Amino acid sequence: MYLWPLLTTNNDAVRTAQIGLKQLRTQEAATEWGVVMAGVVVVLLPTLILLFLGQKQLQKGLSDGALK
Amino acid sequence: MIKKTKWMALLTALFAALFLAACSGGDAEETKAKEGGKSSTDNKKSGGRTEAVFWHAMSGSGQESLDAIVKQFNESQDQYTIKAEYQGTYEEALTKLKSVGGTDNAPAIIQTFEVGTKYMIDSGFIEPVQSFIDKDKYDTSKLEKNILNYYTLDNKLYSMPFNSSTPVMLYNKDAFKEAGLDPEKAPETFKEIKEAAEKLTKKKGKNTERYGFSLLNYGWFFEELVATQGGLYVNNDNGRAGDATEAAFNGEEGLRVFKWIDEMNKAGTYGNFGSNWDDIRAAFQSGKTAMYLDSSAGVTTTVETAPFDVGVAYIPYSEEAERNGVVIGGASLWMSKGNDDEKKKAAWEFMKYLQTPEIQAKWHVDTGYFAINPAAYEEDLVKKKWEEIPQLKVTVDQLQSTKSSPATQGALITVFPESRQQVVTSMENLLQGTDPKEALDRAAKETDRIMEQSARANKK
Repeated sequence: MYLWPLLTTNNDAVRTAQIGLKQLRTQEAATEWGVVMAGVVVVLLPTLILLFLGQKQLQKGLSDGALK
Repeated sequence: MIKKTKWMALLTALFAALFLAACSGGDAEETKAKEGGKSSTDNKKSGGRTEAVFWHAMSGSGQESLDAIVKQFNESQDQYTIKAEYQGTYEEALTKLKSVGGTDNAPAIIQTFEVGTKYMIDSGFIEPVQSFIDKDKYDTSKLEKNILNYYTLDNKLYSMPFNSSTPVMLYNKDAFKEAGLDPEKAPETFKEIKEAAEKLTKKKGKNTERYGFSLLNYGWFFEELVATQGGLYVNNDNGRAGDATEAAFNGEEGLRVFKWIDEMNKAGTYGNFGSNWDDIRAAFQSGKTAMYLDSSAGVTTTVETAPFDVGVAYIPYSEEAERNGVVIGGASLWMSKGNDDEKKKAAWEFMKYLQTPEIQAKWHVDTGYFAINPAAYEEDLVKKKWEEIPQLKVTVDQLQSTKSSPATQGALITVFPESRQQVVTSMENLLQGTDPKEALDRAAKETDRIMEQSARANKK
């Protein structure tokens, strides 16, 4: 999800979150870690909400298949 | 059962909402996105303006500053529009260029790191900026000579320097005071560093709480330590008198560097923090190492965030050699060959705009990279920043006092990134206990092999 989207797109509006996070870091100058942390949290939120909502189903699905 | 269906409905609704949110984002943005998705390298004319695409590798604060400069340029005149696009690291941008280089799909301007210089010259993708300098009678004498030297080959300037940096030594003034050293006078030679490092190293039982000196395990720093002694990296005057065929960095200058590191490492005063910039900076800021080399572009942030007084000094040199100065690092801007004249003109106008003192002053203050045009240092913006952070001036002084020679001009090799990797491996071996000469010779031999391979491949 990083290299391929980077190679095929040119516009920030259609790029993946991974590229966005990479852009928050600098190469040679010092990175502002506070900004990186904030970015990571924002990207994480949707997945996290989805996980909490579906946790029961997820657990059920996993344990259903695991029982003999 | 009913409960389940309800859940399912809720989930479906949620997905739908997320999907719609991701796909809308306003009409204007959507059309823009579509254009971008197709091919933004279609440098087409829009409303009488020529659009030129500019690929860069600036992320973080550098990108913010660059985007602001591009916006200013676009608003300053009505003939050209520069479109700045982030394309990942220098390596990634170069990979991407290889697929379109030389065609009219290539970006009008591409930013490439200094070690890619020889590759770009040989690639056939680019138009030397010298042709525009001649046509336009542009006066390059006002630009920093020590920076231009790097990108000049056979009296031809191939690319326009943009973000240039050099290494400097950063040290912890508080630790110096604690160890009884003069915080205003940094050690200058290898020997002085070694002695200071012994005093600065603090041990608690078997653990070392603070190391005296550290070096980022990155080829650039080794190159600089060789060059400042006047040593060459490769033969044929660092590849500037003719194509380089053999590595020269395993001569006495290079060996002095390796021996010096080895001695400190064995004495337990050398802290190894790997090859990640952020790691060694964290080590310095948390007081785990008292002296280290960093890029001049990292000075501002380190000075501002460190909980102690930070001193900045010239990079060390061997007492057996003279101090020659530094080779510049960073990147420059290249013009594509395959584009039509209008786009090249746009690229050239933008490059000229970048070199104006006002823009250079902003760039220097925002990022810590050098001003290519020294007139920028007279701007109020810079003067104010230097009052705030006097350490920044040291980096400029070091560059301006550099003696120009093939050694400080820097090496030109097509396979520089690969050679750097070999030096890094040898450094690792050295720290594991390999004999300095053996480790260094191995890197030189590998470099010879890679250079020979690439020379053979290019002949075809």
